[in-house]
Amino acid sequence: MDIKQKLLSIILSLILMGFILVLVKKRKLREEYSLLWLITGITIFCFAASEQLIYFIAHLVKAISPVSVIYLLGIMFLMILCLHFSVTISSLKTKLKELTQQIALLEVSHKEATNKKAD
Amino acid sequence: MKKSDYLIIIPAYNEEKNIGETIKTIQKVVPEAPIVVIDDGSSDHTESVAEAHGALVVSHPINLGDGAARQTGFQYALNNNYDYVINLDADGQHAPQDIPRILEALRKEKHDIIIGSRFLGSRKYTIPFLRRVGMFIFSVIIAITTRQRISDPTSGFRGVNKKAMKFYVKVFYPEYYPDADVIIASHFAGLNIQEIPVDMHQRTYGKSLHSGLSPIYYIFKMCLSIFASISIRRRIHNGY
Repeated sequence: MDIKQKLLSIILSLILMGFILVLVKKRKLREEYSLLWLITGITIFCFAASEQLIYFIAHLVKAISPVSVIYLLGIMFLMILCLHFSVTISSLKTKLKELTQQIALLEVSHKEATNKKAD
Repeated sequence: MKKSDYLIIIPAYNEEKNIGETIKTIQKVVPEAPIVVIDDGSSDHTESVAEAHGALVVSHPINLGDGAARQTGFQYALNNNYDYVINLDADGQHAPQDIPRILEALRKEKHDIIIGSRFLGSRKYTIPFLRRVGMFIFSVIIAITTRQRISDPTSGFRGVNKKAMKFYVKVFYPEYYPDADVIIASHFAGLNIQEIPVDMHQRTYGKSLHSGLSPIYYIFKMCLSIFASISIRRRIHNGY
């Protein structure tokens, strides 16, 4: 890897981690969702700092080109992220259902109490 | 609300054309029965039509699904200390003449859940092919897992007692299509299930839940839900 490419990758990974920390600090990103992104930033940083690491993984998985290792890891990361969001959406949907039901039941008990008073 | 030990719940979504007639027919047969319509976020006049016909309406601000609407009905019944709940569809498919028999089975025979089956009587029903296949598959799965034959697992015409209601208000109860998976989970929870023959009609207006491609999604969803129920059967048995 060229030194300029190395520097660019390191700077990009640092920007990504910095940006995530700012989002957490401003409460625009919750800590539990920042974890996966920070791991990504650290991974990019490690790959940029030591290209030997990419070659080592490529050798481990018997990849012809080290670039395909980067693509593989990228796709794996995106899949984990999608699954993570699906789990989060499922949990939110359950909470939304319970809230909606509670609102409906509270509204009807309020309506019944008002009708009783009127009688 | 009228005083009674049982409550009739009718989940409804965009049923303004059917709901009035359904309520009227029920009132003719069981005038003493309190009726609660759970309006599942309808965009039409279901709520006002149901209220105009004398039913109490519990309104979901957004659409959640027929299972969630039934669950709200069970929670309402528990909050108001009803002993039994009869669930009917809003489209007028279920004949209210069968309500007294369902109640009798709940009260005297001490069953926890009564399912109204259209296939146990002498009348013949024409069911679309894909749905018939689905019903057969799930009847077989129910028979294997519960060692009990349920001829009409998709029937929404059901009566339940307080014990079953308490089980149904838990998180597991599915938002859509609470059919074979709920029967299997109920069995694991130790609830006593029985079928009785009932009469059913074709819906008057609108589309059924099982129209278009939804039977394919239904089979897929139901298989996963049954798998989930079977895999946590010990937890269900111990009170979930």
